[in-house]
Amino acid sequence: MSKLERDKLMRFIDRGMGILPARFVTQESNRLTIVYFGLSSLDVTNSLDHIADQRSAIIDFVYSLQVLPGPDNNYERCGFRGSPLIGNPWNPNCEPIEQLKHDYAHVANTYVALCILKMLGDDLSRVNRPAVMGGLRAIQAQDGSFRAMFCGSESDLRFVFCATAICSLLNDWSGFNKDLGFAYILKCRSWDNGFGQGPEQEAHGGSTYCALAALSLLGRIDELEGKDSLVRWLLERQISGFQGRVEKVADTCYSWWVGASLAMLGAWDLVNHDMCASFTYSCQHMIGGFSKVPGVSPDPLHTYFSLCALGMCGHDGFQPLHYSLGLTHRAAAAPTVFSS
Amino acid sequence: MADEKPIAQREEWADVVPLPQDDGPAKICAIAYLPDFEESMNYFRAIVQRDERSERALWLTERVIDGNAANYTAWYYRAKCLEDLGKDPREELKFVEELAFDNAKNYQVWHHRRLMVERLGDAADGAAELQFTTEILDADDDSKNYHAWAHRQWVLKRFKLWEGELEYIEQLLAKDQRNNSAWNQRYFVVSNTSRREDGSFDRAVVEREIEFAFKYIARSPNNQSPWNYLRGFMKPLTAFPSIVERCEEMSKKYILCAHVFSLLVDVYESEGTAESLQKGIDTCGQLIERADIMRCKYWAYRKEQLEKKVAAL
Repeated sequence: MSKLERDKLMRFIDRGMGILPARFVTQESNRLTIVYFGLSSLDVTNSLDHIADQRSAIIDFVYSLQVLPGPDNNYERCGFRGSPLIGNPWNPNCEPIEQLKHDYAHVANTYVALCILKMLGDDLSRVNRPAVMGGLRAIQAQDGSFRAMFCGSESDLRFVFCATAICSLLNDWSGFNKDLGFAYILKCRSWDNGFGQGPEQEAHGGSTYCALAALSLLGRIDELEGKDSLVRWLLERQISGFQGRVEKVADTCYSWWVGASLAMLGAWDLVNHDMCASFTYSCQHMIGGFSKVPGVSPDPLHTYFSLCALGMCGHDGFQPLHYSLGLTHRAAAAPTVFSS
Repeated sequence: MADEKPIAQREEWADVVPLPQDDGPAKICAIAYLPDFEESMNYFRAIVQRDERSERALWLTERVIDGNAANYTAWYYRAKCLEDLGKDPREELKFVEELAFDNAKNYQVWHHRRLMVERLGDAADGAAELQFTTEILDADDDSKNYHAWAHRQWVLKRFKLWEGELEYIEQLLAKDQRNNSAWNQRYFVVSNTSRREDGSFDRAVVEREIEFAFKYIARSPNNQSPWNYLRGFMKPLTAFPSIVERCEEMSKKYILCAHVFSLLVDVYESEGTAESLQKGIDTCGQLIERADIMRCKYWAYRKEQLEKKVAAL
């Protein structure tokens, strides 16, 4: 099939944003990312009006997940949670309330929180920007990398990207040591020209996206050496759709990670768009939505990235994408109280 | 878990008031928890707010992790309990090991493992960590598990267990020469053990690694990994005329092999003479027509760049 099954897609997205079956429990900590994938899928396909009646409920839900500073103005835990699993009370207006113990923001959820708010046209006026910046400052390591939470986690390029996107969306870099961050990104460059998740790790499409998006947001992508070799590495990932690493199978999400990377380097035109679209459609499921490879169940993440890929391959009527922010241009441009 | 008594019915928990989750009025991506799990979480939330780091708190973190191994709050709180209770990190490593095989791509499990190893400090058993990653890479045929490789690299550097690693990599390549993680690991080992003081490689090392790559190229010319590896050491491209000759020979036989032609284009471009640039242009033609049709737009672009260089001579 080479046609988008729109009705089935809408129903799939609806199900993905409503009540999820028990087996989704493993995604509890990052529930907000599922909201992001659903809304982004609607945004990309020009269908945000589909959830118009839920708009303020979603915005309130996001704000209820903001970790606020306590009376001592300690910002290290601040940002947004992925879910209310810690037991935080419903507080969409971000009123000062008694701090919970062991309550920490997670940088990927802070990133998607801001994206969701922008997509829904919220002006970010309830975001405590100094607190978010303080939270970022607290999670950047000496080597320039970022972990996900102040209480501890692995530290790698994924969270460097999230941090740069947060700073960009809030128009404030005070929580980010740019020189250290830049140095860390370059350390993740592999001997084969791609970027790994951390220094010396295997070059990977996802990490390469994180590196390039972060460099782009830092305004320093032009300082990258060996861009030609990197373009070749990225183009070589296309085997029908795109693989994430050398000699692995194609997976729809890499059409985004690798495709957007190529777009940021000005080389998306060199991709075989027909083959990419064809592979993506082969992953469209009969119940709606898209899966990572043909013949398995669809999921919100792969659905969103598949739609991005189809848009990039020229599907009619899709919204143009801001590659480094992971938003449509329209959402990225939505004015906020922090806009310059 | 289904046939165990609910926590609410256990005397030893009678003093704790469970704390429910508040998802707010709308159900946005709300999960329909199984009752047992929801109960565990309600008690977990309560215990965390009491800041209680007891045996029963530890037990509860295990229960929560059992229901959701990706709950990073549970792992973090578990680590705190273990520390306060003075538990032996070695016992915890066994706990992690059991979970790891069913959760081999779970970030929290690997992070927790690393935390326990760090807590052991000098008492940590690096060889055991290496063995653990070997078993993970061997299990379920997932010899490319990114987490396992990251952990392995960390262990190798920390404990300086370089001896035997190149052999291990060769075993993996014997099973699957397309295992790019293994190729990356080889570079990692050579890079960490065979650099000169100024960071460069001896010519002898360079030639050895190039030969190693060629051994695998000869077996399977369409495998991209050894070609990337070759390029990783072939610096500058113009300093290896015998390699170029071998590639030119291969290009006559393996006329559909993109990798050999791709390398030749780069070599010819680096050489930069009128003759070389023309060879580069011709090679681009072969890629466009048959050897790498997928990337024909890219090779057309490269061809154009080479033509511009010829014109500028």
